[in-house]
Amino acid sequence: MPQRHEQRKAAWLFLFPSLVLYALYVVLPIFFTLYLSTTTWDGFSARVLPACLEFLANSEELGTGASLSGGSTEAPVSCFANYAELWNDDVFWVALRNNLLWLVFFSLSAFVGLALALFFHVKARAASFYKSMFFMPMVFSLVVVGTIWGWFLQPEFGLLEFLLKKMHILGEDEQFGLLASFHWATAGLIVAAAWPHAAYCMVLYLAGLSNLQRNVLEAALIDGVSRWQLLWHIVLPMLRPATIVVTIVTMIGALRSFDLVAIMTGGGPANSSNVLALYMYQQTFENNRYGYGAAIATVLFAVSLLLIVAYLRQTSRDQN
Amino acid sequence: MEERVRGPVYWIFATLLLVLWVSPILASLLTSVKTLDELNRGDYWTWPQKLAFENYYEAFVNGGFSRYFVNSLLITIPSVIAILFLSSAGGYALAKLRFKAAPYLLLMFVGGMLLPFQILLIPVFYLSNHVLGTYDTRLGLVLFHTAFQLGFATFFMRNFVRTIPDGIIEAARIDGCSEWRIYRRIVLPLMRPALAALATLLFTWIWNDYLWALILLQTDTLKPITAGLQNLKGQWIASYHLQSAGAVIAAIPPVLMFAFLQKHFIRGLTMGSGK
Repeated sequence: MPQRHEQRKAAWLFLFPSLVLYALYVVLPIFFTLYLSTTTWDGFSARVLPACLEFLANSEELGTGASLSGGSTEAPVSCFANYAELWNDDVFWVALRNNLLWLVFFSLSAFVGLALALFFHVKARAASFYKSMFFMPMVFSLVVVGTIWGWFLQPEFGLLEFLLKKMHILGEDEQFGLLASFHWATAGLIVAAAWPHAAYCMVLYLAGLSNLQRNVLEAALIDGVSRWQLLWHIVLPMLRPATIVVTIVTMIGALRSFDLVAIMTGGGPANSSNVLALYMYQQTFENNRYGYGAAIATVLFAVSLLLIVAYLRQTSRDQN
Repeated sequence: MEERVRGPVYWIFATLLLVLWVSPILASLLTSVKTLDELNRGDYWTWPQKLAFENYYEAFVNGGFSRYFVNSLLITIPSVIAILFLSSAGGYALAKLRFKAAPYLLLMFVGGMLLPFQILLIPVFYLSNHVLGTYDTRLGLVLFHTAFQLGFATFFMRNFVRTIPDGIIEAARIDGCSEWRIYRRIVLPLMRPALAALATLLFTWIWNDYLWALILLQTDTLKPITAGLQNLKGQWIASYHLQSAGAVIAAIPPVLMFAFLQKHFIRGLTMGSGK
């Protein structure tokens, strides 16, 4: 069919520039990073070979005779040397644990978002003003959020210290210094991150609430269902699609956490609040260990992949 | 249970909640107009004695925020325009043109939008530095943002185009319209609400980016406002009045956009993540 052919040609033409850009910047980089994770690349040397194949390059340079004599080339290293090193890297495990803490506690912002959505789901002119103000943190850069919360939690005069002193939990000349604390720094970061994220969840839940079928709710109320039962047995199940989206964006957000950690604590004190995303950045661009950084990125990618697959399954179910 | 008239108790509680919620914003606004003297005296959480708007002048002129601001615009606006153009064309192709690869390409675009950035950092850095030579240019950042956001944007536009009835497009085809003319003359005008919603989202995301500016730019005079603010925090240690002024300046464009285009923004968020 000529028309069919026309359409196929047009489709590829329409998509061509997008596909080139997307391949260069998104698709191929994934494979390149997976490859790099098997190397010990420092970011400078022209040749990048997997660690276990490096002896080939060495023997080439020395001439074939050298590799035959066997003395000068080192024993082949495993291609998974970076991963083996990660396994024994304490900071990696701390970062991974912190990412899990992020996953768990960052999710609480979804409940805050739901609560706020339920509370402000009111038809009144004033309510829309309140809602806008609640949405506001969502459009701030995390650099801005980090700046604001950074001095809220500042050890000498931050608002938290001020309040703790006012309430006599903290003595006049004591300091708490949440962000400088081994135990509490991550908590401070998650609270800061939850502020804009709860607003985002609130938006998603409000949209879900406005899509609820009114007649079902009214019928239930006529049947004398209590408000709590209505929420638990009718509203929440009907909000399921919103909840799935909220869950996925929250989990992705927790795994992506970089900006706030980099800005507010730099992963400190002594890496106690580090996360995989930041640790990868530090190893790569501060220590020039590109291969090792790529291995950390690969672990992060593997964890995210589970979520991506879940999301793809959900969207393809929605499409059909 | 919803949409009933609420009594005064509700509104008092709502107002308390609101004040608590925006207190970080209020606090930074207040701090941004305090003098250093006042901060040095330890009056951090009091009403400013006089409004020191010169802090904004200081940040804008001496802190280089005017330059950072312009850089952010020069990075954000071309990226948004390029993405709108590419994703509307791609979205049309994926939604209305029949070809076998369409569902796979769609999966690829959707999958990419959830990637952790770290898997892309090194290759994109390498690509800009050694292959394309766009490292340390604003163009390099524009290219990356355009490419990365295409994943979400194409998915978004494709979902919108699917709601346009096939009949309109079929009729045009029978009249002998080329696919380009159909896209340009029929689909694009119908896409306007979706493009507006998408544009507000993209503007906010790209304006607020910090990580990629950190990776792809080195020269201070090219940096966008997020990286600039972070830089200046190093120089202005303990100058919280200037830091706050900087934070407020960095937040103004997205806030203004949100204030005026809130409907589009919210519609975009719910359209994009819903289905």
